[in-house]
Amino acid sequence: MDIIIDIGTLEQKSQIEQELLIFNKIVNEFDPPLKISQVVLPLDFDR
Amino acid sequence: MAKIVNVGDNIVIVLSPSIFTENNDNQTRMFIYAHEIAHVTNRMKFPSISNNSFTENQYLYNLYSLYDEYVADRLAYNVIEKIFPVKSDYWKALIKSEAQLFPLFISDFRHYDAIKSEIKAFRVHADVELYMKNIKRIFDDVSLATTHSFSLSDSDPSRIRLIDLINLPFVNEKTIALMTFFKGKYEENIFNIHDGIDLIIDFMTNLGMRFDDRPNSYYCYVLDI
Repeated sequence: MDIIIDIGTLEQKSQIEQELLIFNKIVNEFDPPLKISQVVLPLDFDR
Repeated sequence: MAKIVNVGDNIVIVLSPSIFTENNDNQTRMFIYAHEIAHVTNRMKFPSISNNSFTENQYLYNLYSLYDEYVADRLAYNVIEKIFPVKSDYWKALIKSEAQLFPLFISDFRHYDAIKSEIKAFRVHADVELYMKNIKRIFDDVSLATTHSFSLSDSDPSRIRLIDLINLPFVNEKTIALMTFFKGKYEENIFNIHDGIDLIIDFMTNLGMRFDDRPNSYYCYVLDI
């Protein structure tokens, strides 16, 4: 599962990515696997 | 806060940047992560609703959409309960806010009056499509706020008391019957809820709608509320 973060400074991106790795870990626990290919944190959520 | 986007056979979860602002922390965000993951797992557990009846599809679509939200809420509340024995101030503030805002929304007589006004307008223009288009937003928002209110109350009755929900404009015996059905199915871990179709039919009459099949089409009766 890819994590794409479009917001924040490099340091903030790194902190957010660390938190979202938990998300990744939970997703990977499922059997059968969940078909979540990406988690995206965009600049513009409404686009 | 988050949305699910289908890309081919895969799912992309898009998170709102607002969840990383000053009113949130890892507990409030974990609720959102768990909620979205629950939506994905629900898709794998819910049965197909396709059949030959347009009317039945409409009702089952609405039934499963609301149950999807109910289950996602309950599972996410459960995750927070188990992972974080000590709740943060952000989490407490979020729950306090939701416990106030959801009932406030469904108790807002402007929604009820808006639907009554659309029903009155329909009696003049007789355009079912226009009626459905005009009330769709209210229908979606009221239905969701009702479901979120009950999922919050059922997960911890001290947050919202049932007594505070009854007798609101859209909360009557039909609403209670549907939400009690959701509670029972969730607690029994049941994901095929086709047997709730009569309950969603009744619930949707609260918002002035009853569908009936026509050859290759359907008709929506606009009911007085």
